Amino acid sequence: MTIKVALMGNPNVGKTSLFNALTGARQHVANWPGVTVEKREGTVLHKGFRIHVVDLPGIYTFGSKSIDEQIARDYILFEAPDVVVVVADAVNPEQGLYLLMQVLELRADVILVMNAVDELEKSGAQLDRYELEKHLGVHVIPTVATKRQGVSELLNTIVHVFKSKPVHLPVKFRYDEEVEKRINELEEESSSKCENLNVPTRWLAIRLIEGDDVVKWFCDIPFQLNEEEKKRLGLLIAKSRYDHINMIIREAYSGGLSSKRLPLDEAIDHVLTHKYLGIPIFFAIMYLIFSFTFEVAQPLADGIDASIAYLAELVKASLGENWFSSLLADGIISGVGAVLVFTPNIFVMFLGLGVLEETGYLPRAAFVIDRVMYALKLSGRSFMSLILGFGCNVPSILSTRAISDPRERLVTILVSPFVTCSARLPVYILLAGLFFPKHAGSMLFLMYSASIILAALSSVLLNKVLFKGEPVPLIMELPRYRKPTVLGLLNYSWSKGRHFLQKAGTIILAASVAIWFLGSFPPGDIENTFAARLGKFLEPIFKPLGYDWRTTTALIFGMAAKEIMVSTFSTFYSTEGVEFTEAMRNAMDPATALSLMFFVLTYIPCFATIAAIRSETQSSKWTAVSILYGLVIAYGLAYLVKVVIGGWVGT
Amino acid sequence: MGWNLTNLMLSSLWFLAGVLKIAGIGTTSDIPFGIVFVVIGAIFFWGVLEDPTDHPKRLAHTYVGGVISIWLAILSVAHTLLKDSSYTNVYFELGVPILAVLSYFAGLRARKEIEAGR
Amino acid sequence: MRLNEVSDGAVVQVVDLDAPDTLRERLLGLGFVPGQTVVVGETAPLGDPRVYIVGRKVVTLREAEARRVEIKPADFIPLAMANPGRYVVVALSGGHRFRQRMANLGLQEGITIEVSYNRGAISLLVESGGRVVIGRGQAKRILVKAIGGAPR
Repeated sequence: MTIKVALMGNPNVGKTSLFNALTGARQHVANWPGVTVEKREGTVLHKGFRIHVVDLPGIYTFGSKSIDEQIARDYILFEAPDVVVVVADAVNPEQGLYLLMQVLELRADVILVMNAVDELEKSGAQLDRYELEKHLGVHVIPTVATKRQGVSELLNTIVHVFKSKPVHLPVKFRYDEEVEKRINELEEESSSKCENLNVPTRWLAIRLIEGDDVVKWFCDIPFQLNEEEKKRLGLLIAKSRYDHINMIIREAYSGGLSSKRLPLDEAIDHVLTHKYLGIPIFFAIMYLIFSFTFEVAQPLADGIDASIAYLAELVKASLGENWFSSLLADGIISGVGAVLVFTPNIFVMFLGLGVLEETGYLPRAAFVIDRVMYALKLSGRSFMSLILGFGCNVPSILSTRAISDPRERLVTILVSPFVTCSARLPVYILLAGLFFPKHAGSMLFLMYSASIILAALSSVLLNKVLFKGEPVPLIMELPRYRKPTVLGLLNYSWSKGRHFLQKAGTIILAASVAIWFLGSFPPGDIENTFAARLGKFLEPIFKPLGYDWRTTTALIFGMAAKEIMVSTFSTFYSTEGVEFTEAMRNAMDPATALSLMFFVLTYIPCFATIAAIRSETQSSKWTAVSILYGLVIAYGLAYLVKVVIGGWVGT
Repeated sequence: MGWNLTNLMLSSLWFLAGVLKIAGIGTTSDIPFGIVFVVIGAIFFWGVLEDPTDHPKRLAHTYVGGVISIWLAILSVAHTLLKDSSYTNVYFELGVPILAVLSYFAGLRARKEIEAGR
Repeated sequence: MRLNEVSDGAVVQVVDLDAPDTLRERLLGLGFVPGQTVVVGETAPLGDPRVYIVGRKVVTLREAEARRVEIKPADFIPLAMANPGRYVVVALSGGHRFRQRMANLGLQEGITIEVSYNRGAISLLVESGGRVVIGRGQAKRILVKAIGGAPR
């Protein structure tokens, strides 16, 4: 028999640790249909029952307009879990109990988990679980999820609650007279207005007062509640809940829960969000993570690179020179290998970010940098995602999952391709070195600055044109600092990084085969291959920019991955028996080269990024918008650079 | 030893390391890396500037500075081993981890005092 | 008065929320409920947002959201912000070691103290008659309530 269990709770109460402790390794990550906030599901066998656990997004209130809250609410309402487990932080119980009280208005088969009781005991306080059970009327299980403490008791209780199927709570919470009167009126109104109502009318009435539009799912006829009434009664409801919670806490807790904050946390926050030091520290930490990503992981990446080259040689040597060995070696192995090379960097970067996330620094970073993002109508959270883009746009786009506001998330995804990734660097280095040998460093700096400015301006533009949006509120909780665990870090980087292997791997495989085919057939003269014909066919479009068919072909191949451009240049320019760099210098002037650099900066980042945009937005429309927008900006900007710089050099 | 003195000494040493790294004296020049050294120096330095009666704030600078130092030291060692394995700058490349470990121990002591609520 | 108008370090009490449904529910869920005491923390380096401590939770709000919260000065203030005068100690916020040390100085919940000066460090007379000087860091962890009456 299967028991469906939903895990609910505030963000950062150790819900995910509890999920992992409950389900062990048997978990899989799936996207919600329509929206793309991760829900995690896992199954555990216990006493002959299959307990199927769903980890819902962390929320503070039970339903309203944010996407996380909707997902949690809709799951409880429409997916009919058998048992709901509400996880509260034992050290900070108020908001968790606030959520619990809202759940209890909907159903009675609820279990309360008080997590991190070890931290509570360390602070010198004690929790009386039976006192909590007496007041709340549900089973209370104290746990330490990170140490698997209390997990088997929780499983037993889940089975017990499932078998006993409580329908009514032994204790019922009542609001003020005025609120109760209105609730009764609304309950009567709804029983006449709504058919097939399968939720408690009392819950429905309270949700109505609190301003939730969920009622439209159940009733056709609108209810009349004015804003003033909703506000006044809504405050009364919240106030009575908190008064009740505070009373319960006074009864159930003994010892030092009066302590305001941990002194160490306060001290660390003072420095990390310091008026003058906060921002330099943020950049120093980001720099350290980048150095980790690109220096510590580099020997590994080089090793993979070398073994791929060796493998390609081996295949060619053992199969001889024919089309099949060329497909395997030049197409698949080199093409997929070019992407696999980045695997160590990706995992090391996520390891670094895992440290920031597990310790609790990320919300502080978002806090420190928020003012800048506010001006761009984004928030500090999207800044973190964009910063990742300097390494690679794919993890940058994947990391937007942490952004709860759907509009902000979309804008972040759409502007992230402008953040110049490490794959574009070889192209810049080649062109800057060839055409601006004395100012190559400054040219690189220019490209990076242009990249940041483009991303910022695009964000403002997108918000203005597409969304006419108001800034996203940044109501964020700064969690307690925690020591990261090795297991937690490995888990984090694996679960984030494997998307890169899965999705980018499949796409790159297909692209590599396609490019190999276009560049090899028909055999013979390279100027006659399909790739060259394609380049010549599209050449007129790029004529105003001054790009010849070779550059055009490189740009087309560069869509698969930017690094491919460099090898395409070397293939097509080296035909005349001259060094390809020499041939390039003859074929282009500096203005054209600079315009090409800008084109590379802004047009289609790579197939993997497009696939990531597609999978994260779940929308072909937005993917198309992203591609077109990039192309238009690229062409316009490249033309502008060509004309302005060309004219300036000419005179 | 007073905490002001500890903070002042550690900050001067990190500032010195930062200047050497930026200018490339006794080591290879790496400007952004050197700036990180200077930032760590600044963390300790602002500890000296804190309100003298607000003891936990001063200690906070020592603790955070110490923790970031140890991360920098790990990177610095990796950097030396992987990238700059000529060992020509042995004084500098050894000096930075030693300074970081010293900072870290100072940070741990500061942490103890903060947690004790003194 | 609105929450965005008070300075860092102030201790205030929530009176009312003037926010649309969604924002109101979110603020209520985080504990910004009328009657709740809120300690104003430090402002971010660029002037916005700011940290607010609600109970033991640390919440950040931008000025735009803080403006939605109507407040009044709290009855209780941290000793660090106390002007000379007579006060009752309401709460000692710290671990038991801190409470033990304060108890050794004669500072416990419920006792009356008299602040004689506050210039960074705070000098005060405790009920038992002893004079105590407390650093600002510790004084921030002691909540007091003014009871009027001139210093002796």
